[in-house]
Amino acid sequence: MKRILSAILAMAMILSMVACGSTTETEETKTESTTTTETTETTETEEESKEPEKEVPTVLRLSDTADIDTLDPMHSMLGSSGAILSLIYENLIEYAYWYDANGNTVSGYKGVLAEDWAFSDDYLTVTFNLKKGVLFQNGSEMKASDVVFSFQKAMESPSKQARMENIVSTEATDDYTVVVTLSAVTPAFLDNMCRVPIINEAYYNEVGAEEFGKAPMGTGPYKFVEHKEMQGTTVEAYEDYRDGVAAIKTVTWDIMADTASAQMAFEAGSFDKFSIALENVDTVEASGQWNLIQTDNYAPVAMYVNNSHDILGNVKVRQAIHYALNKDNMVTLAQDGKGSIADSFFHPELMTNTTYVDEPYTYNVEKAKELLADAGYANGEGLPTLKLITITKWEKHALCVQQDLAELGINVEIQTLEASTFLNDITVGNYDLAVNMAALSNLVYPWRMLYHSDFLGKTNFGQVNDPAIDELFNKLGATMSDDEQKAIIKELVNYINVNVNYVPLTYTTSVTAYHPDLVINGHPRSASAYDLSWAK
Amino acid sequence: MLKYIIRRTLLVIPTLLAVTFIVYTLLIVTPGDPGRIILGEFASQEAVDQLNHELGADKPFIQRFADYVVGILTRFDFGNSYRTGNAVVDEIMVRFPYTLFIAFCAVTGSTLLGMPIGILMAAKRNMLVDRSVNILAMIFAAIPSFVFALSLIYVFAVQLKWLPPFGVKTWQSFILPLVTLILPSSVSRMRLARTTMLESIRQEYVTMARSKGIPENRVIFVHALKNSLIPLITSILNSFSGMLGGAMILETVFSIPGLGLYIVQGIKLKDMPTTLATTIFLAAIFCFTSLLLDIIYALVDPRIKSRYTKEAR
Repeated sequence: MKRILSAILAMAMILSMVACGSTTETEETKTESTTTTETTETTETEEESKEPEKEVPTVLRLSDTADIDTLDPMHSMLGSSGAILSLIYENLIEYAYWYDANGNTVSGYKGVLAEDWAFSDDYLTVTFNLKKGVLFQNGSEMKASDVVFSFQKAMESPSKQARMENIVSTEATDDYTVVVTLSAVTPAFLDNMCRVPIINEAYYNEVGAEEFGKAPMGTGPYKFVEHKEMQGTTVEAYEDYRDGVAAIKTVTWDIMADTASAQMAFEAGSFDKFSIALENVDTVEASGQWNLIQTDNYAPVAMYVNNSHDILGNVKVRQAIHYALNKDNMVTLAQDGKGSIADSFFHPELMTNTTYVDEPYTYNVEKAKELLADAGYANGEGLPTLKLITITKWEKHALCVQQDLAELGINVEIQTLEASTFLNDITVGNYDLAVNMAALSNLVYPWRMLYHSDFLGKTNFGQVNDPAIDELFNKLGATMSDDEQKAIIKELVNYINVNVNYVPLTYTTSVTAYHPDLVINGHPRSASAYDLSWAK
Repeated sequence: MLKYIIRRTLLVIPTLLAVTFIVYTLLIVTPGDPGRIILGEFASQEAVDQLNHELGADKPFIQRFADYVVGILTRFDFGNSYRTGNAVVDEIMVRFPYTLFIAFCAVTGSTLLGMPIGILMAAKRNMLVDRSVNILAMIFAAIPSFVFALSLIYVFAVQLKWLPPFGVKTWQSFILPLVTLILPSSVSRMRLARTTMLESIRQEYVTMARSKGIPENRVIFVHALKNSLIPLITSILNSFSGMLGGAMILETVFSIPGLGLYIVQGIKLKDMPTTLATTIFLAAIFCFTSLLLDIIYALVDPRIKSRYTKEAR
């Protein structure tokens, strides 16, 4: 028996030594399985680093958690498709970030396929002057008629229709000029134009709608090579791209449905750029093998409150709930200390024309108890157990809410749902509280979809029906003046802060690990594969 | 005998119908509007209603179910995926070979590994080999498959970098998933082989063979093993359907584009045709494997054979 025990202990020791050994040590024993792996190793032994010439990689390996739905840019809805399509197709304009002379981040709209654009005095007509000599990947030149065709297709697409808001006509006045006529002043117009890809009319008509969704062809810096169902997608640099061929010649996406194994594959060196879960950031940072870039998200993790609920319809109850939430604790526990607390639904720094709230809610349980007592529910008496729904990603935030509200005497039952079920429940108002990330646009106006009574039963998930809010959004939608917008947004931000129709909880941060040899040319927030290159 | 086979085959039909009804009902009662899922949260309600009408999602439940079953029986139409718009049958046929390959290799591997060790353990019962292997078997049986899978990835892909951590690009990609399936499942095969062999070894005819002076190897492999094979064959065939299920979990962990990953993505996106058709497909495989097993039994086991022969008379 002793011999057996000794043997088992010896095996365990060998295994633990293998498992705990550093990558550098194990490097010597690795096999060279594929060229791709060979060219993108994360670490080098000293001997290897002394080698005079190292082959510069040409491939960028990425991962995604889901397969694509379609590669028709007018109908795709999944982020996995969007990531690929964003390299193949381009829009007229984009919202970009860059550094000014002092190294500060600035942002704004930039022309992509449009050279420039101009609004008429009444803001009901927009004229786009297109860049000349822009080639589709089949060699044909992009003309104004392609833009008109793309707009027509977007109008026909249920998932793009919302982006074509108020557009009554699109006309090509010559090969390089497009005039868009609007039925009303549309503050979100430019934002919408960042999401309408320009497609080739002749190619679409030649291959038909079905084939078009399988073999995309646009004006972007990369052209489609292949997609293997549930395996991944490959694109390669378009050699005649107008701004020069991309430094990275091939981009691949592998599908990793399981996040734990995706993280392992990343640690094994299978990907060159990888979005790290916040709980793994410290480990990856400690390994010292990656460049980590952190970007704050403009969209808050928020608690949706069902405003049509008998009890939650009472503003004092909603305020009490807001005061009872310890958001600092939430950042620490739910986000591993990364990110910041959210005082406003509209990020005061990362969204356009926004402002800080005048009187933010600070964690104050006594104040919360007072408000709850004023509402007739002292110590939570008379309150039923509230149903809080969420999805796995925001479960930790939900647990923090549950714990904080328990201090007020409010019992919360958490239900973690599949994304589609969750979406259905919040759409029809089948919940009391819900925790989710609200992400719409870095402009305030599109957020009316969450607040305006026109969107009840659609995207007004909080079931908010407040004429004052409707009025403020209507006013915001009727002006293009920055000053007027700022004034209205200030009023709106403070009004909804007092009324707590939704409770902003925290701002998250995204951490992306880059291979140390990857060079980012430009601002990381806007950088696509085209803006990356391998160090020589 | 033919009557028995026909009767067993006919039993598959109500079983599959029941599975279809249960899964269909479960998917219908869970929240989720097909039109909204396909068109997205920002599509207009009119567009969603129109699509629901085209899909027949606005019809009464029984009518929808009947249409679905009729579509399967008359046109072999299991519907189109909400995600891709392609026929689900075509998508299943592309993915099934991966799952089948993994399940087949796993069953073969676990049998080739588990059976000889089980026989050896029975021959050397209560000796060092028997006890050591038992301890290892308990360890493998106790570790959940996904934990085992992740541990293997960590050691062999992350630390040693000997094997790819995921995918199906090279033959090496299949090593870790197969090891994950084969090692734990060979434990049950091993235990069963040991138990059945021990039972056989204790039989009088084995004692008789030994008393005749027949060499021990011949006693074990010819006399005892032959009579232990029926429960082992049952276990092997039964485990095939189990392996299909096991492969599904591993496909997600190792990103193998088989039915497992397909159904997981279908569930995540509430892609009802995908989830439903894959479940029915797997249920059908399970039914036909059981049917095959029963037929083999009937052919091999003289008791069953004689019962039906008597009935025929």
